[in-house]
Amino acid sequence: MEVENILEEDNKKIDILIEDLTLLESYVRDLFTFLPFPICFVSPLGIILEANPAFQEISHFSFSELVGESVEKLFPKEEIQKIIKETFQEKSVNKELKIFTKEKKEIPVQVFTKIRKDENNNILGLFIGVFDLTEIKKFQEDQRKTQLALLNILEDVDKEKIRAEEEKDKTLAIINNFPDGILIFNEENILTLLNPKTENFLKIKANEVIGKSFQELKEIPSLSPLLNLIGDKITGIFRKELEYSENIVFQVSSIPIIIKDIKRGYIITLHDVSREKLIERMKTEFVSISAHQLRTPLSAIKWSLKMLLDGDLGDLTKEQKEFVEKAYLSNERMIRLVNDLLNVTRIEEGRFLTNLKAENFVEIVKEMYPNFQELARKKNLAIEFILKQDKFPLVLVDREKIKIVIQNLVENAIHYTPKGKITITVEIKDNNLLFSVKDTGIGIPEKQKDRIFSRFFRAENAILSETEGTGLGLFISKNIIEAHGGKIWFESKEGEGTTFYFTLPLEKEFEEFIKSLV
Amino acid sequence: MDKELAQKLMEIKGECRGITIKTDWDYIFRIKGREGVKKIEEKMAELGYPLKYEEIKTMDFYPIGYDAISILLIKEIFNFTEKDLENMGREETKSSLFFRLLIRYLISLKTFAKEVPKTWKKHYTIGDLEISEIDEKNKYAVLKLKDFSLHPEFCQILKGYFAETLKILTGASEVICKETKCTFKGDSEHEFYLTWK
Repeated sequence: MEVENILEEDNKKIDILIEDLTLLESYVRDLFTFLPFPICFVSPLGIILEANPAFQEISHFSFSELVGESVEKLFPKEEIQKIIKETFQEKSVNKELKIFTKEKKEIPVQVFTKIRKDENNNILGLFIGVFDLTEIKKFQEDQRKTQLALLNILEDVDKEKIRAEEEKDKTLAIINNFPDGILIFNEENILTLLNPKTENFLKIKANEVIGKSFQELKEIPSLSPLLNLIGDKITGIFRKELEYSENIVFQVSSIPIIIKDIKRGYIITLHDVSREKLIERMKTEFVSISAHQLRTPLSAIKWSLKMLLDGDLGDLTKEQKEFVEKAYLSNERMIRLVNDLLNVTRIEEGRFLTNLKAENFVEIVKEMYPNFQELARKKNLAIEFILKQDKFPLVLVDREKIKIVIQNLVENAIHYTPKGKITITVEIKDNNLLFSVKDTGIGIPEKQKDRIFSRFFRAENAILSETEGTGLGLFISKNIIEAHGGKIWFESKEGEGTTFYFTLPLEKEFEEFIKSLV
Repeated sequence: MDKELAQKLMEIKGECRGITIKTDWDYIFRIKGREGVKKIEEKMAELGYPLKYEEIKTMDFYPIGYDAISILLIKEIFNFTEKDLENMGREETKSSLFFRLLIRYLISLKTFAKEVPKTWKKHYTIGDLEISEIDEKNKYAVLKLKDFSLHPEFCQILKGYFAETLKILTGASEVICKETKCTFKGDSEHEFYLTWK
């Protein structure tokens, strides 16, 4: 009975031991199975004897595919051999290596080895742990690429900087060697650049004026005429002539520097037009003198021919009379040309309006109207004079000059109208006196409309239909009207007719009169 | 497999560690899944020897008849050939706990040879396994298993088991194991002849 009890006690102890052993086996298995770090155990011969699931996962080989295989299957042969040898010598090694997966893919890993020995110091093998460096390598690669990209950007920036400096040098060279004077102001109205030509033109030194404000510079005598001409605020393109001193004339231009819709300053250029002005003046003087010199003999010829035609020197034969009439008409054309040339020279000399008076404009037209009727009758044209108001205010005009304009416009209408009607209208519109001449004539070709007020210009169809004409009439008319502060323009359709208009501003003292009309 | 054969196998004296059965079932689990294991469980229960995969105590001792019935059921259910059984033995070597414990003796063939009988005893309470000859130069070894007659199919598993162990031990690319003597063929013991290259 006692023996049985002892056996029963022993069996209980054995059961406890077996239970503990089973749990211990399970614990060791779990520890190895759930370890997230890939580990394998390799025999001294380099045979894989054990591999945990993490190792299977990284290598993509199953447990049975790994165990019993040479470790050289997973790592570069020479390098792993060297690592095993070093591990046996140094007990542990920590190196970067590649692991080959089942699909022959290479994964960068950090390899950690540790020697395993038994109690008698016999080498049983080595543990090989690996750490996947893929993400780290990727990060490092990304970092390297970013660094490289940054270096490239820096390189590009340097290149751009050099290029910008080269461009700046080039621009400065251009500015410094430019034949015109250049002044550059920044957005704060400070002079930042001035080229040598400007120094030469204005007799100033760049280092004495650069950095000064527009207002400060206006105090400098050599700069004040220029800066006063330009004014304080430059918003758009500006172009004016400046008579800087005797015989020195600059064409002054100014343009704002706008970058991305923001005004960054402005440039002023000085173009020396002194020589051109001198030549122009000499030419005008020459024409003026020539015309004056021509007028006297032409007048003498005119009156001599008139006397012949009037029979003051005896009767002429029919044939003689025809020749003398042709000579008379040719002389008349010559006189008109000379008069036109004289008018042009006066316009260019700026001494055209000499006798401004308050005049009754309608009366001027009425005075001239019979002549227009006679010319129209000769061409079998109807002519009409319309006054849109009963009363008209006086206008401040140079009577003789305004008559030139009216005569030019109405005679042109008659000359270039083969058949139909001429309508002259005077009215008050928008505080201006508006004069218009409408014809049913040849019209002005579309492509030549822009040049119709140019000096010596005659439209192609005008030349064909009317050989007379100097090409100065409309140029003179435009200058006369603009000198009076008015505007001149036309509407025309080739083959259908033309209407010329001009306005003359009403005097302020007649404002009450205009109100009474309304 | 019928109840009669099962009963006969259960009458074989001796015990085995739970791990020997568990290792076989682990292999089936890997290649056939839990469903495969379930088929064995059902058949075992049908034969009157119920056993649940998760409940096998790896370190405990079970009647050796359980191991024999398990092997024959695996062969029958999954239609395993002798070669399949040998492969099963090879695969199980790698996952065997006792093989892992044996690893520490893989320092040399001699130390390993000394440990083999002890390792057998860790698996089975009957039978004696020894390496009677081992020649590293000529690359052959002879293993003898005495007093152990479970079933002829079990010999196939042992062939795989021994071959794989030696393959890992020597680092050889190929190990061939032949059973040169078998108690089921009238010999007094089992003898396995292993060569490698």
